[in-house]
Amino acid sequence: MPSARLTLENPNQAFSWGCDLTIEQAFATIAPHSTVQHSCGRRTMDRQPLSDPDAWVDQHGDYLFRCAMLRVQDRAVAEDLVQETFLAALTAQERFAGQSSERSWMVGILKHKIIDRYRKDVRERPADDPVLVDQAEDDASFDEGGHWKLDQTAPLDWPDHPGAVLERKQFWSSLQRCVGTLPPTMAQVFTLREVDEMESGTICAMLKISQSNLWVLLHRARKHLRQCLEGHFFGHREAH
Amino acid sequence: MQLGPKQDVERLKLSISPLVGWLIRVTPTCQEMTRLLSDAMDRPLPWRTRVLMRLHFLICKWCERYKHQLRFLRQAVRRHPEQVSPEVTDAPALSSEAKDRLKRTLRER
Repeated sequence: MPSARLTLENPNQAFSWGCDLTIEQAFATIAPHSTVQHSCGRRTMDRQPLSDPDAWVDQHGDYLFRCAMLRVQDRAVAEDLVQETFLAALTAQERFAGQSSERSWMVGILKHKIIDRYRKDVRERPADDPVLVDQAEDDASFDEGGHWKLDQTAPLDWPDHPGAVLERKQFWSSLQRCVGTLPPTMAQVFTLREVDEMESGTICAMLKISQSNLWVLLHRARKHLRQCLEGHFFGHREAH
Repeated sequence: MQLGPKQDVERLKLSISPLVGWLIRVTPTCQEMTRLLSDAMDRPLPWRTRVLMRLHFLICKWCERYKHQLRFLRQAVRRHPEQVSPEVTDAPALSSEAKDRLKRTLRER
């Protein structure tokens, strides 16, 4: 029977709580695209109440854990982050505005917790980590001269209006599938950089890699996703 | 100026043109372009590189598509971050021990 609490398993946690932002600051720094809104000083009566904290773990635990795993790739750290998120949500439940779902509100807190956790590591970034990323690339997308293979790999004209594409469920399920086929580190950097809009420096600190390695990883992730989406969603080779 | 669908013939014809031949020689290859287009989304590139990339677009519509498609991908996921979250997958979930621990911690507060 595990008696040690998560807080004791991670020596950094006391520190990270110690220099934690206040909840007000946390809400202020959540990215503007997030659906989380802070209704400061304006309590509306019709807001949705939060569900019982007792039920949070069953309702959102796995989801938050997977979100955290996608971003940190470490079970123990992900569990820690989920706990921090629940505790912060517990403290801040008064402020839950009800304009977003309970779940996306918690995801907003989780993302903040991730940034907060690694912010202090930013200055300790190593100069280079040649082991993780093989810079040389033997790329089958191009011919010997480095040009697109025109009837195989050259990017197609994606026909639909971008706005209309985003409305389609099939687009998102294709994208999710494609992200799922990325190697874990690439899925991680793509999510942190493109979805969460995290700064390169913070990501390098999280992964303990150099910027040039990060750029290679991002390049490969984007290239793979573009190609995968083209294959699964955007169409057929003959529609040049 | 851009290469059309009947590329091989077109490319052969155009490569005879000294200007296009020169552009193919001096601008980055498509392989290099994909790397540069990605990098441009994360860091400022030197002006000389940016000029050469512009010149490359004059002779290659595919790299221009590539650029727009990467930007589209970025806009899409930033506008709908919730869609990239793992909803129902075979990704690892919390262990039951971890869940019990979390519940205990929450109750203690």
